[in-house]
Amino acid sequence: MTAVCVSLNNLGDLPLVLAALERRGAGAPLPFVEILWDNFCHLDPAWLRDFLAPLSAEVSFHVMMSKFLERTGDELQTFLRHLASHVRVVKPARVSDHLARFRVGRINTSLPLEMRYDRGEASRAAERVARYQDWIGQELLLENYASTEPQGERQIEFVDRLRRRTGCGLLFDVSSAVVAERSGILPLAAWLDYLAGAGAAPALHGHVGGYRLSRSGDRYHGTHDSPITPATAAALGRVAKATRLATLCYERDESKSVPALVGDLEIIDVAIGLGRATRPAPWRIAAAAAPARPRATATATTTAARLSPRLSLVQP
Amino acid sequence: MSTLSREVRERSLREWYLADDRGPDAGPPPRPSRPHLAWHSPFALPLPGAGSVAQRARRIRKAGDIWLRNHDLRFSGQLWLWDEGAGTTWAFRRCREPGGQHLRLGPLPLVVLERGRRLFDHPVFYRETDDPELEALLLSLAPPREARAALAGRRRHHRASVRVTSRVPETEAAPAPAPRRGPRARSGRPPPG
Repeated sequence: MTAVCVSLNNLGDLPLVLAALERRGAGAPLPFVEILWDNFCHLDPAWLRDFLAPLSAEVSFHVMMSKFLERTGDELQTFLRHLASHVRVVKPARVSDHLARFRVGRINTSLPLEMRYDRGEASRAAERVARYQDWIGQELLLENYASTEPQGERQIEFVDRLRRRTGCGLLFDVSSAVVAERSGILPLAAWLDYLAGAGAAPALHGHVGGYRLSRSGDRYHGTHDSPITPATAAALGRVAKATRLATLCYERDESKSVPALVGDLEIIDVAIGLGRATRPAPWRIAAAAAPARPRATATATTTAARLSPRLSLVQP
Repeated sequence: MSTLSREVRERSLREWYLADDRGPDAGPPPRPSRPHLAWHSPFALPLPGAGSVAQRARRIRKAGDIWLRNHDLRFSGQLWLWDEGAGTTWAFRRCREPGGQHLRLGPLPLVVLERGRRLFDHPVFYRETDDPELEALLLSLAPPREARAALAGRRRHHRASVRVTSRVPETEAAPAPAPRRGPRARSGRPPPG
């Protein structure tokens, strides 16, 4: 059975997250707890261990802004040494990070960008992932990117090679895969084939969250600020059926409230077969359904993406 | 460069580097002179005439916000920034208590810390620290309501050890006191009662 939890993004969110999980009938101790380590890294590791212990016996560290592919060697060493000091004390079951870029030339970007997945990046990534794993003494899980550009077609191949070279794992973000599919870049089916075949693992660990169409209407973004969409719910069901989905962490960064979290947890439970809906989903299909954003340069647009109706968000 | 990279770069120049501050006739923003941390971005582009006090204040607030969101994965719990040209200080403190909040303070009367580092060529200095004495100072400078919110989850006996006093009125137009340097840190405000 899949264990479901809400990402603990920072200490301030604790009451909100606990209240939502209790409303769902799953108070502490939780099956697992995942923290966004970026917002906990300034704390004393022993304090952190003692704080997390009553919440769950199983802790995951999720790292967002390590920028481990772009740091200088010294900066990477400093980061890894600090992370390892926390890992030694807290002993997380899993550590995960991202394959992404955070710079264009000398400009720091406020949003992560997708890698090019070329040969140079492959060898650099392999060297850095190996170093990362040496420091933490365990497998590093890398999260898939919400592709919206053509090079995203190569993501599975890149991840597979990296896994073979370094022994790292995959943290599968279902909503990112949905963004890639709806952007006409990479169909979910390609991921499912990989996860059930060559990329199968004894236990798959997943993420799920919200995404949005940009204001200009020409691009989706993983935003973690909106409800789970029907497309994501459907994708979750397919992932749960096709893989051994051991854990699923729901990420919500903005527009966070107990009702919003509870509503999405219920959608997740229904999607992966853990529960029944007790109220209507907080969305409905718009009457005048419009096709998903057409992508002029789409190379792998699926039938599902072409037919996906535009959503109309309705407050529950 | 892909379309998305260009869009994100332009957005970042606008939101983090505050490139619009340079004025409509300034032309395209120059390249930053060297690689830098994300939270240094608001100071990475030169401002015409070193910028006004208000421009620097806006940049300090932006830098503090980027730092609090931890886009550089920094490990310190406090960031102090002071503008020696304006005679003002800002302080940022990461949440350390379950159910608490980040603290953003400023502008405060000038507090100059030892071992401060300069941000590019601006008269703005900073220090990241975990020093408990500086944290106590920071909390004492916070308005009572904000200090209470920040420390919401702290146990009673911890809270009792922090003295919270009323706030010095915020004004950027206040005459700048002479910078004060000390072995650790000094606040320009009178010692609490």
